[in-house]
Amino acid sequence: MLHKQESVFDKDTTIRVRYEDLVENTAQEMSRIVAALGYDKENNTSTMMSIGSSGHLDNGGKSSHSKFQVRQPITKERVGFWKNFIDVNLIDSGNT
Amino acid sequence: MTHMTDGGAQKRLTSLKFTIGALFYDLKEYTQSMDFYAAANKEVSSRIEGKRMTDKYLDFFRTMRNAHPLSLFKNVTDPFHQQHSKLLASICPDQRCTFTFIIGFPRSGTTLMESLLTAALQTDFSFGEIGLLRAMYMKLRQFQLDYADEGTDIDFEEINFRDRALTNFINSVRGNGDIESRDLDGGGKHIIVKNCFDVAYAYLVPIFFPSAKIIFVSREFEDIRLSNFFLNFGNIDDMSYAFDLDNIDRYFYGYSDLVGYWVSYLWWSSQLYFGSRSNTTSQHHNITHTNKCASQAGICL
Repeated sequence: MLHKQESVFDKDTTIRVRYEDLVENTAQEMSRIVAALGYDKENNTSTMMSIGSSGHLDNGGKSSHSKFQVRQPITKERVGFWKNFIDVNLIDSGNT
Repeated sequence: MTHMTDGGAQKRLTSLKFTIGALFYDLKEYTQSMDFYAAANKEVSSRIEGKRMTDKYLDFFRTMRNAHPLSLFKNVTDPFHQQHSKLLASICPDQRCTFTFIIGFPRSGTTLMESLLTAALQTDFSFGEIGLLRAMYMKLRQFQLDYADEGTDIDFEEINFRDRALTNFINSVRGNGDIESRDLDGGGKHIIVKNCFDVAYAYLVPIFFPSAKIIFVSREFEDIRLSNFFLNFGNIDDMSYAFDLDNIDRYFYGYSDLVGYWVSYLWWSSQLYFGSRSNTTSQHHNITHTNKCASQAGICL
């Protein structure tokens, strides 16, 4: 649903990012985002390499409930993880 | 364990069930995993009356959806811009701040986005969920209610945002906070504001920050749904929708409806009223933009 809504965003103002793309092609996506923000990609090459090689970050998320998770290596394992529960009766398990 | 009846012990037991749910997930025992997650969420939901809180938030979303942003600032055209400029100046005195707002449904990857962007820009001006838009909305709304008719000025230097994180943010941008700051190459500051719940005020971004960018993070809904359900948010009021799958669904659709509304309608109406976006290549926010009331469009207040 949200994916469709973003299509009407002001292209000059709003940058659409899909979580699935971010964890699949982190460096590529960040290059796109940084460029869309108006910064020179060349100046951020070292950071991009750092992200790509180490696979994790040690900053950001200072006040977020997700602050511990973002210090874990970036992983694709959580993309489509709901499919693991297709055979689990979510209605009975979650709402009784 | 049934004799452990005090609140603290119950919370620890609930946390333990979340942890066991995660362990079973790692073991790929998904039925057991869901059983423990469901039991843990049921306990939390019973403590916080989750459904009631969800209804409260959905009411809030509906209120914001029905509250036309231009009518919120009716009769405060010039005064609004004067106060608006003062407020921005109080946050960024050197007027060389670039704002990026990161929004998206909780558990959609907004924190990851914030962390990556902070690293990419090598800036420390990322302060997480500080509620900046809500604070600005409340202050300007209060100004409209209290001062507009009287033409009274308001001293934004004396603003008491109350919120500790927000105060720390403002002080840090000013250069006297306790967070180390670093200017971008060439000067100026890039300020990253990430707050999932700011979506209710997101239509204010083009009004308050005409040169700002919005990064909208999305994720497959089914993953968002379970990710919310599997995380123990404790007693955080804002997350009280997350302890029941039905509530998550209802909350998500209310949230999506609000986003869809301001994206499809409010954005463009605000553009007509407050003038087109900056057409310069400057990355720095121009706080002196003037009111370009689009009377020809028939929406001049």
